[in-house]
Amino acid sequence: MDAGSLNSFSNLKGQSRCPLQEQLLQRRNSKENLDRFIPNRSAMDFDYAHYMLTEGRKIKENPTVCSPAREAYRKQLAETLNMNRTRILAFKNKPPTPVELFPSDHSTSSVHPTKSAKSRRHIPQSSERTLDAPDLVDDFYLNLLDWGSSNVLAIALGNTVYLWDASDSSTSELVTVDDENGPVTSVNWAPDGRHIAIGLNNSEVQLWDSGSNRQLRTLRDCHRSRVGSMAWNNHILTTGGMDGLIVINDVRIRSHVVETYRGHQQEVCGLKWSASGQQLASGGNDNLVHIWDRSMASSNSPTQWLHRLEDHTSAVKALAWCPFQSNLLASGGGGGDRTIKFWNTHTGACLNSVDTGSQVCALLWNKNERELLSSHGFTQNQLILWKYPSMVKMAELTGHTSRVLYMAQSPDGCTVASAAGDETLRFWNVFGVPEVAAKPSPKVNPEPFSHLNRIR
Amino acid sequence: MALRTVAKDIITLRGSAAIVSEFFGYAANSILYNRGVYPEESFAKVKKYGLPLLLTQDESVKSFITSLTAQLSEWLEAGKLQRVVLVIMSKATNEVLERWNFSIETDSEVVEKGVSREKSDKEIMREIQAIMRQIASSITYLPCLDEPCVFDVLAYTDKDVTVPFTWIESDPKLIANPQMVKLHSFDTKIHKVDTLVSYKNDEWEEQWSN
Amino acid sequence: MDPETEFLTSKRQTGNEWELFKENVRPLKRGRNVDLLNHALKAHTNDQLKKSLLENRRRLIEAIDEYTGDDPLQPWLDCIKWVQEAFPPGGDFSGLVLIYEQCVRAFWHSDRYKDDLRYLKVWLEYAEHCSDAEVIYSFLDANDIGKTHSAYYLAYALHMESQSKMKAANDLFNLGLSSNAQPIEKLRDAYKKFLARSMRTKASEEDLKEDDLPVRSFGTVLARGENQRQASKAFDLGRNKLKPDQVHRTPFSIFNDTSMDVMRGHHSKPKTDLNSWHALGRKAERNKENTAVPAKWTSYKIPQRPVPRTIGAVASAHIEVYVDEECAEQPKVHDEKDRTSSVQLRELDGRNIKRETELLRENPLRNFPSNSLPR
Repeated sequence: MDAGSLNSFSNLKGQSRCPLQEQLLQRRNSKENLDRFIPNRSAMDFDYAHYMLTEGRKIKENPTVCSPAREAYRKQLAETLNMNRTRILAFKNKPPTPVELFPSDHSTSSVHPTKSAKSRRHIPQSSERTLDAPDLVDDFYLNLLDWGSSNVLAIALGNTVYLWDASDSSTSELVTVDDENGPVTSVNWAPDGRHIAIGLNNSEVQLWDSGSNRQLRTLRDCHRSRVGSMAWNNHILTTGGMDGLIVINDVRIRSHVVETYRGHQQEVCGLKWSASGQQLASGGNDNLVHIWDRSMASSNSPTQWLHRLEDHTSAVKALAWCPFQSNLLASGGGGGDRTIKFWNTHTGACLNSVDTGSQVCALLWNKNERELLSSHGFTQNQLILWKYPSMVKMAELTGHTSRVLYMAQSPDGCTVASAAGDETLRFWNVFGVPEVAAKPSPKVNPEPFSHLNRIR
Repeated sequence: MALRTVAKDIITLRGSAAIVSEFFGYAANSILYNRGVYPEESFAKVKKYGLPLLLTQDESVKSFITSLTAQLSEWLEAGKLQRVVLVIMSKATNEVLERWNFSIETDSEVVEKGVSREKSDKEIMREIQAIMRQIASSITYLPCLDEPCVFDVLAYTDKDVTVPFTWIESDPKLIANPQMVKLHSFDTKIHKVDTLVSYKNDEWEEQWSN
Repeated sequence: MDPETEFLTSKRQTGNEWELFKENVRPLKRGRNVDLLNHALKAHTNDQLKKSLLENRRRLIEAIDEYTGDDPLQPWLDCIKWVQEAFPPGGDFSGLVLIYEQCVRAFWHSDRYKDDLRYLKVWLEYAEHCSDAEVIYSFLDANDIGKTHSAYYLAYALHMESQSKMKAANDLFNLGLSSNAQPIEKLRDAYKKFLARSMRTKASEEDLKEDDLPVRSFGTVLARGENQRQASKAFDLGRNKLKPDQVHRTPFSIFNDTSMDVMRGHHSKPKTDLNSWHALGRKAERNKENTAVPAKWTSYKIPQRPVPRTIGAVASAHIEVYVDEECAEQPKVHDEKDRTSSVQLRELDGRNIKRETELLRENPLRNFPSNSLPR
């Protein structure tokens, strides 16, 4: 090895602090034990983990190397447990050997990779702009990006929330929370474009007035663990927690908890109100999507939810209500599922399911055209623009080198912002402009290399 | 928040044996589907335990599992079943790649005296649901089964059990130096079932060699 | 007593982090050690654990230098395996890409490892992380590395397929088969599947012609692999992401910041102000026009267009938020919106790893002596 190679390593070697968060939350055992899905770990388990971590590799070469405590324990077990009491039986007739089929099933997938739609508009293949977003937390379960109706983008980087005014490109820091309360786990603008809710890792939610840069209140005691998803419905702020609870808060009154929706069994990572404000869609790590309807409150139904949609086989974070068709919801599944599904939220029926090939992290409908934009994680980290309802791919946008976990849309519906674990925030002019749809595509300034069109 | 009092149901030995053996049937199907032992298309969706689960439509696999669960139920009622293991092996080399262990602890008092216990059916169902979810999510850490596989089922019984003529003694088909993961368990108050999946430590170049 | 029985009798539990955070775990074909995975997932929000992870990485790297045995590749592999598992989502901060690169560069000229499958695998995984995998496959070809293994041909062919270069893929399969690459059966099976796929693609293409749907002219369509249940299989097909420089090769290269009616008054070239904390000082190395360089936050504006109410999100009526007593009493005094960023600069080390990783992704052989590069 030449000396040069050693130099690069010195960075890694000398590093004693983590490149990611330096100010991350110290785990608080008491809180975590409340969640029945996190068992109390015995001391032995942690020791074992540490053992595996540091010496796990050696296990194969030296199976007898063992701490004295474990050795004695093993001996004791062997004595008390008399293995002679057991016989092991198997069926005489073995189950049939599976016949290997050549891939014929894949034609059932409704995605036709080579089919693409002719579009009347020009969709740029790469991002318009890329901004640096250091310390953006790379966590699927969080919602760290939102674009408010006053054209201000809010982004949470670590413990800090920044506001970027897209009209004059001014940046400001809204708040930096303490280490033990942070990091920030969700941000969401109120429809008035002025108030903003900030969810924290410590389960609290802060409400701020971005106009005066003032914190107005803190919502406490509604969740037992971090608040990763939020959605506003006028003055109602709905919060979704790692505890699986969805809390309906009225921010105007002191005792803010109006109702708690129970149904999810694991973290609620997606939360979206329909345009009418009548229905709420929620997605969780339990792979479920629930539709909650405000009219249910007065009904005698045994469950709080209107529909429980179970088709996804992975966590559902991506949820988007269709702007041009009421009662139509699009949902996207995580790494083991990778599908986008469409639902009639009136009947609960699944209308369509499309395999995208990658973990679906976020979904946005185009407000101007019948199109849907999806952003992805494992393993291709791309954005895909689909024609609706044919679900033909119109464009596949790349650039992010890490999972595109967060997406938001400008108020005028033309620009999409995406942020990823590669710590970049990118802007895409993927949705076009209302007027352009009406006129033909030739541009004022011919693009360089446009003659290349005709070469192939 | 008012505490909901959960109504308890009476669980008999027979009932519990039925719950456990039925669980095993669904779990086996779920494993065969999720691990790709049989092709996706050979499964159909059903609702069970409040979840969409998949059941094989292949007649011989179906009958294999049905006969199996019938026998398991018998052994469970007699309190003689200690563990059931679904073993997944390489078709080409017969090497054991994965073992799904369901170990059972039986309340002997119930077996001896014929008493029954109380527990909410819903609660049991919730516990089983949690296990089924974990089985499906286990792709998070399990190695990719890149090659055609076959499966077998082993029953660990008490020594004094008479071997039914459709069964034979078997070697344990263990994995050397396995990685092991404990999943959730469920308890009918008569039978407590623990789930443990063990899998082969995958070598760096394993996927590409013979 | 066998390990399973011991585990069961001991009543030991396995942590559930793997399930709670399953979406943050990158699929790994060879599977993962759950204890390490759980530990790594916990470390995401726990400083102590994170420190211990980084400490361990450091130790493993040291072990590479300190190794005195007769298989110098082994400590590298131990390190790589561990890093893959200790950083579940992957990402540019794990240092994995750097380690791959250092490892392959350490042994590329060594006869000992030319045919070592383990060594080849490091190259193949490195290729999967880079935007231009072809450069790596050519390098392996030119330097006769790994060519007795099916894995080489398979990875190369699948990469070609993902670039829609079907003929090249076909040729590679045939080359591997005729060279009697091992294990031959695996290559044969993979070839059969490839043929089946390309038949299907052809068929649907022909359908298209009948439907008179013109294939969209820009947007390179990626060849699709099988729809596999197991996430790790999708990863395995080695489909490479369409990176900016690959876009460059399509007939309709849309360059960054071309003038659009939408962005009035917007400069077509990204700003190269190196004084800004945002510019990462990489411009000099970038010669690919399409790569988006992070620009200053203050240089970009997105004015909103007037749109009909039904389409745009218009600010709704003001909400009267109930104000907590403690907030009313102590109004936070904030600085005026400042033009320069107040984001703290992160630790240089972390930055270096990320920067190096990005550079390597773009140009995986940048540290190699020029005489080793394929002509």
